[in-house]
Amino acid sequence: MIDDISLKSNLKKWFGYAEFRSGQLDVIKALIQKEDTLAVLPTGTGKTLIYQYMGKLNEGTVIIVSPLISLMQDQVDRMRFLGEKRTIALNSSLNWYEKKKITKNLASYKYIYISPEMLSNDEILDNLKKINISLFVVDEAHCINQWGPDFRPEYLNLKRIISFLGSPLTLLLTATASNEVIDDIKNKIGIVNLNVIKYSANRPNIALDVEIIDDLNEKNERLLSLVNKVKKPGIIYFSSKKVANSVCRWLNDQTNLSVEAYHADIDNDSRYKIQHQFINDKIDVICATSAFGMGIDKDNIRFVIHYHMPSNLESYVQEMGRAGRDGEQSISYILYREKDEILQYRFIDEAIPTEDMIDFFYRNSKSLLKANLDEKGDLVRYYFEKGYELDETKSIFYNRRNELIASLNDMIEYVHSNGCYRQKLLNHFNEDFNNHDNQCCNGMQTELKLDHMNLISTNKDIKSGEKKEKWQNIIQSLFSN
Amino acid sequence: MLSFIIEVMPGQNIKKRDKLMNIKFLILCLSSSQPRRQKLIQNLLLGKRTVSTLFWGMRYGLLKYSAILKNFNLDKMPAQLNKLIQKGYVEQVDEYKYILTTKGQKEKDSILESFYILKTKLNYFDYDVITFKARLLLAIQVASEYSYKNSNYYPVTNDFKSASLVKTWFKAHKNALPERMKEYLTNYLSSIDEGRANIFAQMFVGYHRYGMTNQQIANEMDFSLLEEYLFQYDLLVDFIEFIIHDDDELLKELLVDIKVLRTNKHALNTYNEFKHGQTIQEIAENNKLRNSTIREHLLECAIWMPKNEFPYRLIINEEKENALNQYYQDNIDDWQYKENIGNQEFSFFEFRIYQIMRSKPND
Repeated sequence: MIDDISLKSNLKKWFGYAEFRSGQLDVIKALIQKEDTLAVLPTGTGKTLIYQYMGKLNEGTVIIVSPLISLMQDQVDRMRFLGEKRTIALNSSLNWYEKKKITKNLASYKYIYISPEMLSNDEILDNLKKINISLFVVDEAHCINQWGPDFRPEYLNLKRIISFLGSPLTLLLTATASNEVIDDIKNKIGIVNLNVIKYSANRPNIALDVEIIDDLNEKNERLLSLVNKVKKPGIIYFSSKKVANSVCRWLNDQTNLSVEAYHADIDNDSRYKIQHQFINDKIDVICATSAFGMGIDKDNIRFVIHYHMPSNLESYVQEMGRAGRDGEQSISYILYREKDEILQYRFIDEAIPTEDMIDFFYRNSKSLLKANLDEKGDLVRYYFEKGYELDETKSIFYNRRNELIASLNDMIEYVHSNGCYRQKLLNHFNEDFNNHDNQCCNGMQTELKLDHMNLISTNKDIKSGEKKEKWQNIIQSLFSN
Repeated sequence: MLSFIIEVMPGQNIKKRDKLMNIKFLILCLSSSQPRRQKLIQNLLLGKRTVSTLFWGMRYGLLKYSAILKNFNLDKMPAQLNKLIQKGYVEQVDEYKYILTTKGQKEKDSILESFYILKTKLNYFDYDVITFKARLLLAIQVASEYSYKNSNYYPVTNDFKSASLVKTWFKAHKNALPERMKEYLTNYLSSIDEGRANIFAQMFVGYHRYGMTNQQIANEMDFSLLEEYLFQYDLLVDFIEFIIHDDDELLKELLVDIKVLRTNKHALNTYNEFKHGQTIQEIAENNKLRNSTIREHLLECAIWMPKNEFPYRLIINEEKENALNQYYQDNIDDWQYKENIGNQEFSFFEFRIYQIMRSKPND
């Protein structure tokens, strides 16, 4: 048995940190004891470090199931950056040849990120079975919860897959899970004696501010004043790319800050550039859409503003949790305008296949089974292939819609709630909270004072953005003499 | 200024600079003397290569834009066209065709003054500038980080194919790479216009350099994103051609699949066999293709090639040409195919070939 001291000295040696973050050590110790573990750790805990640590400790390959293909390559790049060059992502963005090449050499990789779809592929599974899996990680494990907003049907196959792979040591990771969700995960993953380690979702260093605003003009004025006043860097979240773009342009016009838009429409190399300019403090404010995460951690983000509220409290915790990873005082704002949720209701309508679509698929299943379908079509096909009858599939989606609406209603209720916001939020995750104070939130008639929290911007924090230079200087600086 | 954002909210009018600029480009694609099909222009820009798309693309004088915007989403084009109609810039001629009004032509003239127009001349090649740029940035980054002896950094591109290509390239040239790369880039950048060189270098990524995004460059130059793309397209095509013709082979390996013929190789094969005297029937039999496919190959080649490179005479003899010349006199766009002219019989294929021939300037 390795003691805490040698665990810490490894931490120092491998990662350069003197101390574990809250939760990391407990989980690592459980895994060393060969205990299959569900770890519920708040955002910003450094979950990657846990499996990276285990990878260094043990022979064999770490498999990480991750539902976010858009983030997977970022995760791989990050691991490689951290020195883990034998890291690869297996997902649908690979072409046939690349997939073949990688599948043949699975054993040569130390960390394999894989999408749930890919993991359902028989050939890949057969190859995975042949290698020594030191740890099987399920990231975003709450996606297995059918009642949750992030449900991924392929996660339901995990039980069968884990057993097919010979039940390797398994780590389930999530940032947000209520007791019901924990029970559901335990139930669906089918691991007997699953060890649950749960830490509070509370992020005490992030003050919570919710504002109900009458009209759009007022919202924009408030946004402008916050962006000028609050210490930077910060992120503003939007539900729409269009609005993110136009607010970004507007803020660039109205302030002397460097503001950039960041969402799925941004081309690849600009995405890279924005991420790295931001990480390296050349951008003050990012206007992002919720659907699009940042692959790289930036630990000194001081504010997160939701220009549009998120569609559920789980996403909210995730997104506002990008602030204050360095432990310093930070703040989260939700700027809510009556009827803002119309947008979210529309997204729900757009995400769920209609009865007509389901009917159509079942009537034309022969020709559609192999066709190239959009996301909604894929979902219907999934249930069709699993042998669900027409009425069952319809009722699944009917219920699913209701669940998403219920999650959205929780969010709306949070925004409108009286009393302590933090208490309301933590109650949602079955936690108690009774320590409201003047830096907690703006509920209970509390006025959050930015100066008391040291969150007032000074000229010093304002970045100049990328400046145009002469090509001769650029070439000179690119290559060391 | 606040009202600007209000217009962006869902359910209300949407105002967006980039789209506005695309509207300008759409105006540039239309004409006040020739009714043009919106759908065809859209298909042409996206890279559709049917004979009909190419033929009309040529007639519109837009052939060089074929596939130029294949990575863009042009779904909004019909809506943009409607907006132009509402503003009185465009009129609908029939179910598919549109024409610029006098007001629209005036607008076009003024756009021509300020909008960035693609400089790359019409030629036989598609350039995959986006992939090339990804490889180039990665190659520069790799060389730059290597010169600072740094091996831990985030690669600017993670596309599997480009990344392995650059990796192989790096291994092959590792020796003295930073010096050679520096020299190569300096040679090229000092050979082009200083202003363009400055913009080009802003894109580069390397040791402690993150480079400007397309939007940042567009802001810098007061361009729309579309103009910035066209500007980059010209810049990168120019650099690709430089690499091809330069004696220094350093960057040649980065060009795999970057410059490809616009006509497919089967069409070129048909063209060569036909030029050397084989008949359409023979070519079809030898290659196990249908006659109609062979005819399409020939039409495709005729459209792309300068007049003197295509053997028009093998399809339309002098006698036939004289008959056609007498019959067809007015605007080429309006010609109707006719089976019998004088005492000659004509196929639709011959009619189209003749139309193409008459469309080409004499070299």
